[in-house]
Amino acid sequence: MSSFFQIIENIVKAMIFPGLLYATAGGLLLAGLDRKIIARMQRRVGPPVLQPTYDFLKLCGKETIVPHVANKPVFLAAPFVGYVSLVVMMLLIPIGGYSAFSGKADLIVILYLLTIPAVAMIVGGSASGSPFAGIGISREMVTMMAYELPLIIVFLSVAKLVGGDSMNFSLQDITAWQEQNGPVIFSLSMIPAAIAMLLIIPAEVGMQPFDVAEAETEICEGPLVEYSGFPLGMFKLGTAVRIFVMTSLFTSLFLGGITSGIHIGWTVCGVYVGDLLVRGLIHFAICAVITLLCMTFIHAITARLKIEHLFKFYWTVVAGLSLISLILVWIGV
Amino acid sequence: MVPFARVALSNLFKKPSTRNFPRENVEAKPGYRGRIAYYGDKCRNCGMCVKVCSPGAITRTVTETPEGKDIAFEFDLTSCTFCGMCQDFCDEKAIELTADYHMAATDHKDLITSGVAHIRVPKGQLVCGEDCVYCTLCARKCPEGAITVDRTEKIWSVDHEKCTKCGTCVSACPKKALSFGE
Amino acid sequence: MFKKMIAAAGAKSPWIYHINTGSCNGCDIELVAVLTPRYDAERFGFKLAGTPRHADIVVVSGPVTSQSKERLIRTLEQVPEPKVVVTLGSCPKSGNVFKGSYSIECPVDKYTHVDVSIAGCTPKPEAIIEGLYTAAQILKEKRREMK
Repeated sequence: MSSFFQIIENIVKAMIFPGLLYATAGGLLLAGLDRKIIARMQRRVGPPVLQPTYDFLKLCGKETIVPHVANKPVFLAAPFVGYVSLVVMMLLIPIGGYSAFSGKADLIVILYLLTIPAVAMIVGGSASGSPFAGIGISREMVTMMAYELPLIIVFLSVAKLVGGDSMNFSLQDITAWQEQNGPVIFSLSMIPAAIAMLLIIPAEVGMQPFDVAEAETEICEGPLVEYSGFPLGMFKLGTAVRIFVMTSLFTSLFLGGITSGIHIGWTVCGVYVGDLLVRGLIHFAICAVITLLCMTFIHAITARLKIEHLFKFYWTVVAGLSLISLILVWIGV
Repeated sequence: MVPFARVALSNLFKKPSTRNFPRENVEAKPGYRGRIAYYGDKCRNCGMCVKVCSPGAITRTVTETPEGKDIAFEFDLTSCTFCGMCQDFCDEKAIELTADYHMAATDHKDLITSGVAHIRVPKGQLVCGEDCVYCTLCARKCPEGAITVDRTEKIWSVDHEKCTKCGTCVSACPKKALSFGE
Repeated sequence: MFKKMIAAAGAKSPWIYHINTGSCNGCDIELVAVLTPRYDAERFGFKLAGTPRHADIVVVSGPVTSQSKERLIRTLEQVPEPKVVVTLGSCPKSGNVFKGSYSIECPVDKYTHVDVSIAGCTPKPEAIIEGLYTAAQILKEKRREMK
């Protein structure tokens, strides 16, 4: 009997709260907020906040064209692979101190899962057989290489800070540590790492000025050039969820344990639903603020970089910032 | 980058500069050349507008009636450059380019301005009276080039083959010397 | 209900693909002006798509030159259904002042069904917004008729 409830609980976790539904709805709302606020920064009215949802629904109703040079199964499967890996990532990230699944080395799993959406885009783009997609995927690969190195260093410095003598890659432990010692961002040595992480998020999501891979004015949206209809909608959805995943990751790495003090009774089947609701909402609000800070604001004030400038920027400035943090943590400041 | 950041942040708290267009109609600026209006009662069928129209957007169909002629004009707005030449050349102000710019239509018929001019053609032929001072104004105004005036020899002549009896010269004459004689 | 939602969303997020078939650039500039803060077509969900595969509305400007005729036909074939074709300005409908030239193969009506035509040389941005808005409503109708 208990195993039956276990299965139900796991399905609910995967499908509703930290999983599919919460991630998708949150991602679409964040993408909408991003578009609305960038419009206000440019003194425009801007689209409604639900605009990405409308876009996705519309793309569901469009005809799907597969080019005759394309590898059909790979071409159609790529967007789903990317989307599913993002949802899986959402299950591993603790939201308000609550995660669906946890393990000893969450961060390393997340590091691998993070590359999958980008790889899915590369595979899908190369399966389409378009020369525009060829340029796009080469740029996507360079972008991936550029932000992976500083991202790993940021993860290492957080793990070192939490683990003390050894490294601790468990997100659950990182959150528990922050509940006791205060958020990671408040320790002086971690501020450069936090800034580096904020600069990595737009590149990971593919937002201006780091959207060289999907530059719509020069290479016609790169890997997505041949996509239409529902698969394109899945890619757009994936981009929206990626915003939520990356900001959630930032929240749990640097601002974890903020909501752990909140306790509201209200249980359903032994689960603290009230707590989850409030913590989920506060988590979403924090994610919205981070989106505003690191994506919308930077998008509003900068123009698209060239690919070589992007690479240089990430391997010098951002990697430098995260290295400073790592060294400071290592010598124990 | 700092000035951009400042502008972006200050814009965030300002009112958007967007016009709420479809809900509040926006009037075009004076002098805007939009949808063509044609007043058939003023038209005299001189044909000047057809001649000056560079894209050939104006079509004229003539039907004979007992009193004279019925001239149907059609201005194809999807062919027009809105240069305003027809308006400038119309002596009778029968053509006007209005400030109406709402010219998006699903049906091509909505983008055609049409009108009919009922012309009573005078029975007699064009003659010049005693008052003529040979100013050549009638010759210059004539859309068909039917009138020739020699200022030195003081000769006024009209080619009745070319003359369409539109009456442009009659209204242009400062001395009121021209008329369609009995 | 899901079908209804999709049809309703069709009118709310029309993506535009703009093809210049030998236009003098006047209409092109005005189309871009529609996306500026003053007119801001994005509040109705309009967005300029980079490729015909993503487009719902194809905006054609310019008298169809012999060079661009092939490209126009190919581009229109690449747009997934439901699609709406809008002509911008006088040129694509009639050739305007280029009418009768040896290198002009207008009107666009010869190659496809034109749903909305926006007259003007060039049309005012407000007129373009009106035309595109009409096109979005037609898109919704077309989506309803499918399946």
